[in-house]
Amino acid sequence: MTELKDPARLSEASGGLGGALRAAQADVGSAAQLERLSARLGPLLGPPPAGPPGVPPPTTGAGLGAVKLVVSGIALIVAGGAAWQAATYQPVSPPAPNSVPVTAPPRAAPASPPAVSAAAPLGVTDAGVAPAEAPSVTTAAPAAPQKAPPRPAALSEADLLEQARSAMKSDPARALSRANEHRQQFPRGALVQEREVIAIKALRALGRVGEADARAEAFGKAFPGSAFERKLKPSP
Amino acid sequence: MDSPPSLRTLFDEHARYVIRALRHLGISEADVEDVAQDVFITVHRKLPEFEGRSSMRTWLYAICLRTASDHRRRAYNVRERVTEAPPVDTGERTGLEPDTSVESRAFVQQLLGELDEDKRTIVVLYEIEGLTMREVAEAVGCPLQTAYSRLHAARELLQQAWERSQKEPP
Repeated sequence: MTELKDPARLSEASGGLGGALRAAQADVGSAAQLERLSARLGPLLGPPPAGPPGVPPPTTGAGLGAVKLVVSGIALIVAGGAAWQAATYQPVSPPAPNSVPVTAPPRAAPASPPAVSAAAPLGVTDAGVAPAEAPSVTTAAPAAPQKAPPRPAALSEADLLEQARSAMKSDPARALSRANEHRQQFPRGALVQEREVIAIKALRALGRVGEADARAEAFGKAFPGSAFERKLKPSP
Repeated sequence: MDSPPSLRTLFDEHARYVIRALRHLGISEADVEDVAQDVFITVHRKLPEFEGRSSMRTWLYAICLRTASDHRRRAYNVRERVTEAPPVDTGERTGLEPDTSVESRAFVQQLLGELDEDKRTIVVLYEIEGLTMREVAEAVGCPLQTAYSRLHAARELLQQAWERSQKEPP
């Protein structure tokens, strides 16, 4: 079968619709939007290359090493994972007094009801969880243009998970504690799935198989279709 | 296959266009950064699985489409719960109305708003984002011929909307 040739694009036509579509083409994300987005994603993006076009580098070097480590470390732990609901997943227990969306400004509202029954088994049960240290940015107006969140908040999430990841082999109890601490501080964080993977693996390492399985099952319900789920199945 | 690029590289090369695409796919300006963040989190998680069956750009736009669609569906559900009665346009003008010139974002959104989601997606990817029709079909996940049909229908609707807009008083 002969393949059809793509028609001329309307934006190439002069005037009329063409003008509107050319205007649409020019309406790319602004430098300010890219900067804010880069700051939100900081722990995942890692450092920019020298002299990147368009996107300013992270504002501080403090903790940058931790960011690098957590990105590569979590990538190793959860490589291949996939899910679509991460950014909206919201564990319901326990309520975090200073809940802060990871590096992002607060969202307008939970976009969909949290998976209550699925999330419930994921409650933090370990004693001695450190009190939340999150900055108080949760009360900002949801629809207003947001300024870049404080850098320490971004590093805090990355730092917690890096501590959890690095403690996994030598001290899984500490890994679990850090993961649960992350859960309390960042119930709607961007790295929710990564945290759960660490926590479940730590529980298994501690021999708390029943808890690990329950948490893995809750994960599967909260994030159906996630490739992480496959990695969380217990070894035969 | 070469190893996929880093998230940082993808972000630097595509973030501004991701925002543009989301905007024209109907994501409000208040939400566009949230949704773009979701896009790149998903990219981060799925990047190790990228097999190169499609171009990176097509793959990225497919993620944009899915994320935007999920967001719209959730936003619709929220609105359904909280909206009591839509505001009524009384026809009064304050002089502070948004710019609706042909080149304005509001006008473009108005035009695109004439299309259903399937047609709007094709128009955004082909006419604004500059994908080839084969890439469009891959990103959308439909047969190429279907993509052509939708583009054809969408263009007719856009043309009609355009003509109507030119007859309406400013």
